[in-house]
Amino acid sequence: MRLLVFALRRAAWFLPTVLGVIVLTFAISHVIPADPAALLAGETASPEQIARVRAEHGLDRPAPEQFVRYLGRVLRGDLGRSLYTSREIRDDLVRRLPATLELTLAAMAVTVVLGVPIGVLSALRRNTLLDHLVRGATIGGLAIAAFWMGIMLQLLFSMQLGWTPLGGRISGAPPRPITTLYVLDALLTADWPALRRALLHLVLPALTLGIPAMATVVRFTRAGVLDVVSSAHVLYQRAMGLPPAVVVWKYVLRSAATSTITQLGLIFGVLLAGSVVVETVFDWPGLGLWAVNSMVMSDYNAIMAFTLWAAVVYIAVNFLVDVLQVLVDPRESAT
Amino acid sequence: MTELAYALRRIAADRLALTGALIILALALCALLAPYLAPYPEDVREVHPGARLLAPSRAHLLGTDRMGGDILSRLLFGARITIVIAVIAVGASIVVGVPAGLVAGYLRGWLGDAVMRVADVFLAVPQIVLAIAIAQTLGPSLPNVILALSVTYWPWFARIVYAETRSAMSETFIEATRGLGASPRRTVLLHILPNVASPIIVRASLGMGFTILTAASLGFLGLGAEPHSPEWGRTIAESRSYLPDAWWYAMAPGLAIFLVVMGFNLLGDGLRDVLDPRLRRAGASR
Amino acid sequence: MTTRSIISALIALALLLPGAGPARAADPKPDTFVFVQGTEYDNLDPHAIFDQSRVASRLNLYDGLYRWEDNPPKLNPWLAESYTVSPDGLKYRFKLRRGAKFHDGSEITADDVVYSVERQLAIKKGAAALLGSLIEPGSTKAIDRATVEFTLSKPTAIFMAAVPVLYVVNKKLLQKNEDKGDWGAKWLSSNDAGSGSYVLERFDPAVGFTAVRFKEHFLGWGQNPSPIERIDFRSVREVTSVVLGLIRGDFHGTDGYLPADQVERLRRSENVAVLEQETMRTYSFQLNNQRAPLNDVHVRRAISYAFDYDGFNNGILQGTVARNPTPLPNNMWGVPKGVKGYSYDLDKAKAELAKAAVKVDRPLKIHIVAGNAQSEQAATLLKAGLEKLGITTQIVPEPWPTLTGRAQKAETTPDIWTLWVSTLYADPNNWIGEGYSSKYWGTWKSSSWYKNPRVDDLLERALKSRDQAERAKAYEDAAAIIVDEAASIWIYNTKEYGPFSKRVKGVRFCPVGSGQEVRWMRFE
Repeated sequence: MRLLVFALRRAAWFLPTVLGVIVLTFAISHVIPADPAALLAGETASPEQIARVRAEHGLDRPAPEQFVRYLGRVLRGDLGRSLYTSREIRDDLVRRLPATLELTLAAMAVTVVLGVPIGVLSALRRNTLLDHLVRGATIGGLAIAAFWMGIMLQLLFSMQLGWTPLGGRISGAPPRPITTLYVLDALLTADWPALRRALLHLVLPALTLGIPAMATVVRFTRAGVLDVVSSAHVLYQRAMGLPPAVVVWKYVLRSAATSTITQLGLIFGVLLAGSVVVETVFDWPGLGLWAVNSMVMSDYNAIMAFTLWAAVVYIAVNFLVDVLQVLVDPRESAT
Repeated sequence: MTELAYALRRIAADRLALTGALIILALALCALLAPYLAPYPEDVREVHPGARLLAPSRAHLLGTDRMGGDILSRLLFGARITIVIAVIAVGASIVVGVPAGLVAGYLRGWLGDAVMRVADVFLAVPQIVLAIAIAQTLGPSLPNVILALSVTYWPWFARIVYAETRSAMSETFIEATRGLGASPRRTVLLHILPNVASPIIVRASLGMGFTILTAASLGFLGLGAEPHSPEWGRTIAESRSYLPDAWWYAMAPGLAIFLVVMGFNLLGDGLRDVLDPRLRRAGASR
Repeated sequence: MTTRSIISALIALALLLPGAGPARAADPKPDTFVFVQGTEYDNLDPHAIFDQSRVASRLNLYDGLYRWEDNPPKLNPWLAESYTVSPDGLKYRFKLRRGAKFHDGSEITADDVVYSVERQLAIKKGAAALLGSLIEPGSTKAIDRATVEFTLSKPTAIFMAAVPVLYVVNKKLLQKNEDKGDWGAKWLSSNDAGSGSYVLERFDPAVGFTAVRFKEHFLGWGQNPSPIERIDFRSVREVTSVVLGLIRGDFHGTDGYLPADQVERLRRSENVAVLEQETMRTYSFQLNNQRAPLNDVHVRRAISYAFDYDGFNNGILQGTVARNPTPLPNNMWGVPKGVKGYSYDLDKAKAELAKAAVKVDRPLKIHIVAGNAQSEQAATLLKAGLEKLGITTQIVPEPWPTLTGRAQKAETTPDIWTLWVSTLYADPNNWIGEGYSSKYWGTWKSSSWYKNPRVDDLLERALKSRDQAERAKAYEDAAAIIVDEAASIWIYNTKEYGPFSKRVKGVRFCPVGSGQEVRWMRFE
């Protein structure tokens, strides 16, 4: 019940923000350009063509009316057609979603599975050589340009060592589709050769996408654990003679778990932004690459759809994370 | 003044922060003195089709690029573009974000809420995505990229200043000055602004690093600088077709970005320790 | 979580990786031919696309009445067995082969051919402009089940050369999939209504298409006893990925657009054979002849003298192309003898500039294809040359569709832009006629907006005449004038580099289609 109240209260933030984002994309596509109809019709359209586009899209109506129409279309899930391929943008979005989902989940796994333990370890071994190395690496990880790191990884692992392919999502036929996530499908259908091919394609992009986010996680986790370790509470437990291992298990890891969940939303944002460049570097046929191609083709409808999609997903994930957090740590709902 | 001297001494004592400051100083000098430091300053525009993709040597310390340009010289000139983008974008974000945060925090009420709601909306879209959308709609060019970066970065300042203002407002001495009938403008300018200056400086330093990374990504994707511009992100994009043979071509600009961003991050972390003891180095750095 | 578990995780990861070593030599014979290129296969409708980069779906999934094959290109009967021309040269009658079938098993009839002509003209995309300049909608008739008659609007020498651009689609299938009178355009963009050597299996605009062999193809498979069973045409954006894939043997072929430096790498690989065929794809900077200051012949000549042809062809492209100083490819007939064209000579450029009646008082804009490295480098080189004349320029990258769209009107055509002209049919009209006869104004090939009544007259005469010697003479004269007036900056003619895996045999290269017709190939 309390959870429901909390969820509703957060929804009161969630919905206006989504609405705000729709206003924002509306403003970018309808208000910024001197003549949005000319933009849609293309650089070379004749005045008659522009006029036709203006009428077709209702761009000759007053702005508030246009916005209501736009809102209506967006809420119905109608994102318009690509100016370049004239396909439904929604179809393209749906078709490319699984690739991005797979990459993001893999990067998320890299981030959490490696980032949290390293953070905990670094905090417990504070000021040792290990801690210094980890801190140095996190500072470096946050300063490195993801696209450059991806290229350097390709240079080493794909071009020099020949261990991994340079790009793409799979070579040869994909496994029989069940979830459309290749790695999962290959596992489910016990298609081991496909699993290997899928993993080899996935490993470098997932690392490239995951490493900057991992640096953030390590820093957060380390700080959180240091907080706990130096808290009066834990000091007291220790003084009472509780074995350090138990203290670590009972308090430190719990705190690491909650702080990880807290960060999931933030991490997700980092990954979402990163997917644009990482997919470009690795030719990963997902939404990020689609957005960049649309950008090269000046496909405004597609760019706006991607912007809207990214924002809504980001907001939704943060909303879910908030709710999840309350489930894990009910004290949170008070704030 | 003594406070400033104290802060500077503290930074000088912090080895990491000092390293950061020195890197930034070096970057500034490179950008300023590029025409004098560069071994081949004319290579920003000039091309040498006969001297393409030469490996690093004494004549070309970092090798040459696909048009036969000296990579070291072009990196130095690229530093200018990087600094201009980052300084203007972060500066504009401060100019917009700080007043917005101050007003919202000072007034509270519906206007304050509205300002922060708008900031929330901007923060809900990943910066690079929104920057692409805006820059592409305006037409890809360097000024438009700077504009897009500013439009997407101001909310960070607004949010910080808002939070700081709110907490400053509840402090007794400000309540006292208001009680004594000081004008709102006076209160904000004389009492609140100095209090929120530290987090703004910290955020500005970290923001420079972050903005340089985003700007390089946009350059890499082909937004902004025109072809053959020595902009670092674009140079990396151009270098990809010549891997693995011309490894130096892709390597150098990436290292330059790394160093500079590292410099700003180290300095930002150091400043945070010095200026704002409440926030610890281990915290987030976006 | 301990250090040990992290280390073991890392070891596990390290063990997983090296299994993928590059050695592939002992692999069994592949069952799929994988062809990759940088641009996307976003549309499969053979009437909507007309460029070389998306030629694979047309050549392999569809058939036409005649087809260009081999190098130099020869016109071979295909769905038609033969044709006859009326004495006035206006009526062309084609006899279709009996028993040729579409992929759905139905027979190809004259009705389908007529429908295909009308559909091509009606959707106004792809080859419609070329075809529409030769025949009117509604003028094509099915005489009987196996005879089609075309009626030309006026006599022309190039009709037969242009016939292969028309692909025959399955009328009944398309009519079934029509949506609001769109001629099935939406459906056909991602489906197959053809009769070609391969049947579409899967299409994903994000990746490409795969197709399997059509055993009942009308030509039969007697000429190729061990044909390739499945073809996979894919878009791989990054050049280095293409090259690495070829070297590793993952890919079996790619187009001829690789940078020279990467071609060099492929040559060193033992898995790849680099075909070198002189083709007829020319490259030029178009100058907008209608806009000041480029409407002054001296300014155009000055610019022509300011481009480092040798630096570009032999430095940047490392001699993978041949200098081509006139609008026509060197290896085409009709090239004027003894015309040297322009060279990189800044003194001559300055002298020409001094003679110009107008001043170059504004920055010139050079528009290039976004993301295309070659046009970026060419523009950079031109920019550097013009700077020495005191002419400033601005390089503007734009997507190809925007550029070709701009070129439809003189007012929107850029000052300078880069253009490749591929062989869509092997006749001089493909280059010089469509490029410099003012009757083609409004198409992107003629975007120099060049107009000279004498040239118009020569080109028209060459188009109508059926006497080869007379035609050649007219083209030579016209080309000499166009070069003298520096209508464009002509740079090179390609030597096509079609890297193919050494295991692929039987590639039949043709400048029209670039050797992407898989039915002749086999694996070894």
